[in-house]
Amino acid sequence: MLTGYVQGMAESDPVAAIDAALSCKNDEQYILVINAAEAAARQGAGSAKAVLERVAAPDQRRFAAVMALQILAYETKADPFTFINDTIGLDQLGSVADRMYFGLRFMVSSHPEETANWAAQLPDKVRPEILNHTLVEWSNRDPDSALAWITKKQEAAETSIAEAAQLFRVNQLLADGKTNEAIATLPQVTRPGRLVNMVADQLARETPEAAGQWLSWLPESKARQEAAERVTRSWAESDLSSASEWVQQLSSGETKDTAANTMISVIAQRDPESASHWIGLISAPNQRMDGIARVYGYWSGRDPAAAREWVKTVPDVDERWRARFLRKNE
Amino acid sequence: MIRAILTLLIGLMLGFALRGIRSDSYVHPSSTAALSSSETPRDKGTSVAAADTADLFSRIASTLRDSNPLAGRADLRRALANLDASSLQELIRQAEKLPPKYRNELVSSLFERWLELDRPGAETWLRAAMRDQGCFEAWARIAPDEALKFSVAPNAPRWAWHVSETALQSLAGNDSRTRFLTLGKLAPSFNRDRLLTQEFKAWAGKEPGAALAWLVNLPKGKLCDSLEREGLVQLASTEPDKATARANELIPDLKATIIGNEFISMLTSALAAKDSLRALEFAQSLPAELREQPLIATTAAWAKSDPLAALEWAQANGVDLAEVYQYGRVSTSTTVLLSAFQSESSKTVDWILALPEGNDRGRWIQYLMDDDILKGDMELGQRLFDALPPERQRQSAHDFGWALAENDRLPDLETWTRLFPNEFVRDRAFSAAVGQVFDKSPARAEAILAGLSDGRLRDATLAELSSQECAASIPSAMNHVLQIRDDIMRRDVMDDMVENWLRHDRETAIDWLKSQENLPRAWVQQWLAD
Repeated sequence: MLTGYVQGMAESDPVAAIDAALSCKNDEQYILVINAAEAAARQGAGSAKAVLERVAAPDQRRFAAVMALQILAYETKADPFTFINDTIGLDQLGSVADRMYFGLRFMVSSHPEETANWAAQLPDKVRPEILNHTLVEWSNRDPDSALAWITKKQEAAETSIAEAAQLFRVNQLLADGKTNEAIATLPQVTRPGRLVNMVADQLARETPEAAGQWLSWLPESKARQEAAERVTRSWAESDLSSASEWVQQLSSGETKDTAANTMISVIAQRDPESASHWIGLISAPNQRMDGIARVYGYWSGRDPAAAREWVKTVPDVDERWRARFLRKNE
Repeated sequence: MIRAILTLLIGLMLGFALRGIRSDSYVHPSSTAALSSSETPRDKGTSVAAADTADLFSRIASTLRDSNPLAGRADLRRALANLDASSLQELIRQAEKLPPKYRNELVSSLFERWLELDRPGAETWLRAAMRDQGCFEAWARIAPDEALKFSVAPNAPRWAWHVSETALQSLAGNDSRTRFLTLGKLAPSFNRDRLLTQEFKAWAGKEPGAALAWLVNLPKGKLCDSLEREGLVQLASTEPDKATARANELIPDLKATIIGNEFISMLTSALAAKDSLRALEFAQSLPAELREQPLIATTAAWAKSDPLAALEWAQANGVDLAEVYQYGRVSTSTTVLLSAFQSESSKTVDWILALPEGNDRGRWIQYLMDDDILKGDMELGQRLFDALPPERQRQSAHDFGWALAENDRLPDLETWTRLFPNEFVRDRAFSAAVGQVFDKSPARAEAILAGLSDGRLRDATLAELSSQECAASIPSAMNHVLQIRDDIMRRDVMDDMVENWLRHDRETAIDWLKSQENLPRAWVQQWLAD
C-alpha cells in the first residue's frame, strides 16, 4: 500500500514522498527512497537535493543520489558535476563509482569532453574508476574523439591520465586482434577500474598465460586483485589444470587469496571436497572465512554431515567464528 | 513571463504532460511554442522557411512528450513534413543541445528529413563527426550499401553493429542466406564477424547443409571453426548421422573444460531434442571428459517422454538427477529430475520417496522442494519435507517456513506444532514465516511477535525480523536484536550485524555502539578491534 502511495505522491510532492518512503520498515524502503529521489530529479537539481538531504543514512543517500543523477543527466540540462559534488561529495565518490555506469553514460552522451576533463581532475582515490568508465563510454560512442582527447592530454604530459591512457591503448590493440602488440605494452597498474578489467578479460580469453604473467609482475594492489579474480575464473573455466598451477605459484598475499577463493567458486559447485583444499592457500582470515562459507554452502547441499565435519576440523580459523558459523548452520 | 504561463496553460488544456527538461537556466522548448502541435504551419498558411528558427525549433520540440508519445510522433512527422532543407542544419544544432532523452529522437528525425530533401548535404554533415546512432540508422535505411561499409569498418564504434542490421534489412530483408552472403563479401572486422556469426546461425537454422558447404569460401581459422560447429549443431536436427560423423572427426582436437566441451554438449542436446535415445547412444560413446553434460541433456530429454525409465537409467549409470545441464558459460535449469517431475509429477515423487534412505535420496527430495518446482503446492511440499532426514529438515526449515506464509497463509501455533514436531525445526520455520509476513506488513509481524511469550521461538523470531529490517534501518533492527533473551543467540546476531554495519558505515556504527550503555564493553571492544 505504501508503494502506491509513495509512487503516486512522488510526482507532485517528492519531499512528502521521501518522508513516507523513509517511514517504511522493510527492505522496500530502498526502492521507495529511489522512486522519490528520481521523481524529485525530474523537477530539477534543487528539488533532488532537497529530497536527498532528508535521507540520514550516508550509504542510502549516496545511492539515491546516483539514481537521481541518472534522471538529471538523461532528462534535464542540470549541471551534473555540481550535483555530484553537492550530494555525493568527491571524497565519497569511490563508494558509488561502480554504480554510476548509467549516469556517466548520459553525462558522456551530452558532454563527453567536459566529463573526461572533470574525471581527470578527480582525487587520486576515485579518479581511475570514474575516468575509466568515462573513457570506455566515450570510446563506445565516438572512439576517434576519445583517442584524440587522450593523445592531447598525453602530449601535455598530464600524469593524472597516464595509467588510463596506457590501458585504453592496450584495450584497443586487444580489440583489434593485435594481441602481441598489446602484451608488449601492458602497463603497470595499481588502481582498479573498468579498463583494467576489460584488459584482464580480453587477455584471459585470448592468452591466459600472458594474463597470468602480467599479473605476476604487477605490484600488490586492488587492481591486481580484481584482475586476478577475472583472469583466474576465465582461465579455470577453460583450463583448470593450468589455472591451478598459476594460482599455486603466486606469492602469498591478497592476490593469491583472491585467486584461491575464485578457484573455490569455480570448483565448489561441482566438487566441494576438492574445492576445500584451496582453503589452505588462503592466508588472510577474512578471505579464509569467506572461502570456508562458500565451500560449505555447496558441500552442505550435497552432503550436510560431511560439510559440517569439515568445518569443525579445518585448521587456522578463529574459534569464535567457527562456533558461530556452526550454530548458524546447525 | 505571462507568455510562458499562457503557453503552459495551453499545454495543460491540450493534455500535454511535458515534463522534465529542466535546469535553472534552461527553458523548455514548449514554453515558447505559440502553436499547438496540431496547428502546423501549413494549416496557418505561413512559410516555414520564413519562420524564425528558434520558434520553429520550439514548435518541433514541443511534439516530444512523455504522455501519449504516439500522438507526439505523428505531430513530429507533420511538423517535419513542412520543413525545407535550408533550416535543418541549424535545427539539428539546437536539437543536439537537448538532454539525451529528447535529443536522440529529435536529431535522428530531423536528419532523416534532411536526407530526403538534400542527401549530399546531409551525408557531408554525417561524415564530418561522430553523430548519434539514430542518424546512422536513418542513413542505413536510405543508403544501406554505404552505411553497411561504414558500420563494419575496422575502426567503427561497437554500436555501429546496429546500423549494419538496419542496412542489411534494407538490402536483403529477412532472407538469412542473402543477408549472410552480403556480409561474406565484406572485409573481416569485429562488427562484421559478429554479425556474420549471427546471420550464419539464422541461415544454418533453415539450411544447415548449404550453410556448412559455403564455409569453403572462408579462410581457415577461428571464425571458420566456430561457424562450422554452429552449423553442425543445427545439422544435428536434420541430418544427425552427418553431424555426428563430422563431430567424431573433430573430437580428438577438442579441448575439454571443467564442464566438458560446449560444442559437443550443444550438439548432443540438439540430437536429443529429435531422438533422445539415439542421442544417449552418442553421449555414451564420447570420451569420459566430454560425456557428463551430454548425458545429463540426453537423459533429461528422455525423461520428458519416459520419466521413470530415464530416472532408473540415470541412477544406475551415475548421472546425477539434480545436476543442471551446462554448456560453455551457460547454466540451464534442466535436470533429469525436473524433466521427470514436469512430465509425471506424482510418479516421480513416488519413485524418489521409494528409494532407500541415503544422502542422494535426501538431496533429490530437497531439490524438489524448490519454489520453482513446488509452485505453491504446500501439500506436496509438506510431504517432501516430512520425508527429509533431520539434518536436511533443519537446512530447509527456513525456506519452507517462508513459503508456507506466502499468500497470507500463516497457520496457527497448534498447526505449527503438528507440522513440525521438532522444536528447533519449528522455531526456524515459524520465524521465517513471520519474516515473510514482515516483508509484506511490518505491523502485522509486530503483532504476531507481541503474542509470543519469552523463549526460543520468540528469540528466533526477533533474530529473523532484525535480519529483515536491517536493510531499511540497522538501528531499528538492533532494537529487535536487543530483545533476544538468549545471550549466545543475541551475540551471534549482533556479531553479524555489527560487523556488516562497521564495513558499510563505520562512523554511524561506532556512534551507536558508544551510545549503548547496556552492551558489554568487552563485546564493543572486540567489534572495534576486529
